Amino acid sequence: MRVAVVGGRSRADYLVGVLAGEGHEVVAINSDRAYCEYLSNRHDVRIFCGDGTRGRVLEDADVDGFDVVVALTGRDVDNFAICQLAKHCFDVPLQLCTVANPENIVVFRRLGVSAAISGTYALARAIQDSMNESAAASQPRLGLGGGLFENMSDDPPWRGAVGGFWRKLGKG
Amino acid sequence: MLGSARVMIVGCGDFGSTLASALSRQGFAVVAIDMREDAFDLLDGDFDGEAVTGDGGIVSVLEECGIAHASYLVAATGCEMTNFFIAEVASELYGVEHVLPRVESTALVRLLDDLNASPICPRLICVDEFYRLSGLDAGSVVRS
Repeated sequence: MRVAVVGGRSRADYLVGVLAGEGHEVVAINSDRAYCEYLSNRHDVRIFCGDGTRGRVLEDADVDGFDVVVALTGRDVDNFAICQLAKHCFDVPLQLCTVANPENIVVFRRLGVSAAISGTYALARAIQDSMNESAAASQPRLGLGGGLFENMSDDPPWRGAVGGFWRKLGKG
Repeated sequence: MLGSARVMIVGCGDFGSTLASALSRQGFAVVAIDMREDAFDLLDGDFDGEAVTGDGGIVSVLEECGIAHASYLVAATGCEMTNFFIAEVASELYGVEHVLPRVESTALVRLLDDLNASPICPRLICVDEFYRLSGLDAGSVVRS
């Protein structure tokens, strides 16, 4: 598969290594020149220095027709723009990103991003699950509020998409 | 009636505050949202709307401020990515009729056009204004 990894630091480093190790074609796009040099020394993949939120940069990085884009910047709105540009301007069918605000898991999904992953949400679920296992009585759910989130299912929406992504990579 | 039309303006900088003041004077019900409380110092003294301190880039904040009932949503923060996101939220999730984000990037403008939003692109507006003020013809070629 052809995967574009945009932004990020240690997550990008790790992901690029894993994907390249599995034999996928990877391009890493990062606006930090020094970090680009670091990645270039660590991994034998194409590294493109530039701001991945700009259509011109994605175009110059040649991501058109890639299978997956992964947006790992620290800003949810930047990751959103990267995913939408990749999807609508560059025909990338699977868009994944991290989000700092767990609320955006549902919001991004409803706006057409394949999956938005929140470490904070995963942590809350893990705590919830371990509380449920150890307690005899039922526990109050760690809700994320009503309104837009009322219909959020028990399973985070990203689980299926990410599960599918990893299966495609042959990780089972 | 004008009084019932609700305008939500996210970002109370120079553009947002000038617009909020003008619309309030016209009789619209204006809600101005900004992360910084001192941003509201830019509003006119006779501003008659609501000024809410909060992050308009967070959907639950927009919801609490009544985005579902807004007829107009102006995304005027200093960050075009945030404005782009707010515009998509307003248009796709809340069905706001008039969505006007300030965005410079050509690619994002194109995406917003597809969504029925009306992006405001200062870069292009300024170029148009240059031609208007200078009297030069944008279509003509100058030969030396």
